Amino acid sequence: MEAAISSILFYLFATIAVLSAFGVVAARNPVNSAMCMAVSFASTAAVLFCMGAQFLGIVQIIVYAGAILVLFLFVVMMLDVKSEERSLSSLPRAIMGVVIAGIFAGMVTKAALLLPDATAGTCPVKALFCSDCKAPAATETAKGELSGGALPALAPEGEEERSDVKSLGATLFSQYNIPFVILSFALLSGTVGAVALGRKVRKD
Amino acid sequence: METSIISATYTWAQFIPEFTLVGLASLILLADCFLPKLPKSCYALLAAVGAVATAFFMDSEVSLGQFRMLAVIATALTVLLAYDYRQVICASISGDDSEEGSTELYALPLIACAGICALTQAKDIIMLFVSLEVVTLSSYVLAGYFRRNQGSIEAGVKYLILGAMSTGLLVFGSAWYYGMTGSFMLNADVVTNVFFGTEPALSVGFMMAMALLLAGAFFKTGTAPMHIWIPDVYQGAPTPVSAFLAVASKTAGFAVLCMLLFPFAELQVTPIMQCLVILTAITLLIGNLGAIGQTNAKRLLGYSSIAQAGFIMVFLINSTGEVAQTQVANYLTAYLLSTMAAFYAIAMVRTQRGSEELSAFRALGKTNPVIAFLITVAFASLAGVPLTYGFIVKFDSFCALVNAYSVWSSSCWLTTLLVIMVIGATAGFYYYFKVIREMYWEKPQAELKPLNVPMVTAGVMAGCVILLIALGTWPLLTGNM
Repeated sequence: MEAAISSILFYLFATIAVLSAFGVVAARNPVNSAMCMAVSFASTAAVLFCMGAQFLGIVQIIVYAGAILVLFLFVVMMLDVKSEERSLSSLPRAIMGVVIAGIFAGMVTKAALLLPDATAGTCPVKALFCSDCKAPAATETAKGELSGGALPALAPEGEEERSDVKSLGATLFSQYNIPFVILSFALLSGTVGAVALGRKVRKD
Repeated sequence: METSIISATYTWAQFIPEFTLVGLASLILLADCFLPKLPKSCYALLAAVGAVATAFFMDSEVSLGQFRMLAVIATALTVLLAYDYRQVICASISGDDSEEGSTELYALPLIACAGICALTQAKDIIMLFVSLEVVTLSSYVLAGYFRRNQGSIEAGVKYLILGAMSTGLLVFGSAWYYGMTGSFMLNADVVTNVFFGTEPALSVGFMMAMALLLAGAFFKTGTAPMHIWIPDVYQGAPTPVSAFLAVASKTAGFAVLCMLLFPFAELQVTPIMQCLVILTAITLLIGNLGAIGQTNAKRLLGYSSIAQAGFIMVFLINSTGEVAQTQVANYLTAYLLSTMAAFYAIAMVRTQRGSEELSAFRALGKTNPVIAFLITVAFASLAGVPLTYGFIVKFDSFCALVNAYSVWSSSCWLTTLLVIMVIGATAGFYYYFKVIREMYWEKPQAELKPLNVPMVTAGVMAGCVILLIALGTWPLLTGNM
């Protein structure tokens, strides 16, 4: 029962996240785009909550929805960006794009369905009404689509009572310490780049 | 269990060169803030010297060590090229002679280079992804560095959007990889477990992971479906940055490709090999045939970079073991020497004749016979003329394909690829020699003054050409092909 509800919630929030992500691209007005993005971030955070990664969910809301998105909106407002003028792209090109995206989606779905347990009676609606259906959680993580392949140390099954923040910290600062430091190079180049590209250009 | 494996995989000591490079970059940026009197161009020399000095600390014996060396040398040459190109750089950034705002162009290649060096030491996907991101982020900034120049902005935006897509593919691929194997490690055991384990369905998902990961690597190498950005970005980006993307970034891409394919060395997984054959054929066709009609020298080198990527891919079809890695590194060495010499020539011509079109090379044979000879050798090496190193490595590439016949059951695929390689190599003679024809045969419209050759350019070009000829004739003299 519990597993079924969390599964339903997962599908619900995942659908909202994907649809609003589509809205980000499709919206013509930049403010609408940014608002769609906020919805997408929030539902991604909800998915993380469902997976038991509360800390990541909170960070997602604080950092992405709170800081980055507000920054986006500031930029949109300060620069007074008008809604974009869109030239109609040619029909053959659009058809080709849809076909390629469709083939890709089909391939991903097919590969996901081939996985063990993918079709073994885990329909969330059915599971809600029959209590002895087994929990679909393992299958969902195995699919690795929206759940991002489930970070290994976030839910260590053997260790009980270890908080989410602790295990995340332990993972980052012991197991992945060196890659984490290398990642700071990326942040450094991002900062330097922002300064270099954002510098005032003198007019002739 | 995984924890102990990964933390035992890396030691801090092996990343000393990376930290040195980033430390040097930070030092340059700090000096730029606190020593405003110092001319900015001296930072370029400092960066180049520092990069070369780090090369001495490196252990080239480790696997992919050659790639690391190539990346550092390419970075040093890029920064030196930026030094000679500073006149255009300053004019493009501030609109006058002031050097304000040019320091980052010397510091960012060092950070990118640290990323490539870390990449060559990666043993799991996390490290691979993180260090590849360091390279990519720095490259976005570098490509769009000339904000007053329409072409550079276009290059920056195109690179950013397509690069973000390739990063997305890489992340999605990593998720599948972890989902299918339960591990981020890149080694033969993991792959063997998936293919010969109890669950056959996992291998399908694993193929999906490999396809996505390879697509991410193809973006860097410029292999067929992911090559679209190359001509536009090379043409628009500042010339030193184009040189960096052409050589260092491609080296990073092939390092990733070698790393991803290495576990398959013993397995002979046919679908992956077939996929590589098809993509190599398409890459060779697009690169070589696309280059024929080009009139802009940087765009020509862009298509040339796609074409050369095709020839390098051939090594990975034959085998993906250590031998293939050495062969790829050798080809990249030849590519580095000749492409760098070509970019130095383009930068020099652009600075003094104000154009990057092939027609700007006109009559160099009369006005600067020595420089014209150096450019001739560089382009001849790209085309694969005997007595240059370019010939030896291209010959090696053909040999690798012929050797692959013994492994493959169906030879018609390989024969088709062989025909396409011959077509590509022949087309190469046409389009690389267009530059040479411009220099010696085409008559200039006006009387052209001889170029005045900066010292660094002269030194680097001469060095590259001497190495190309020396490495190209040495095997003939010793009889050891």
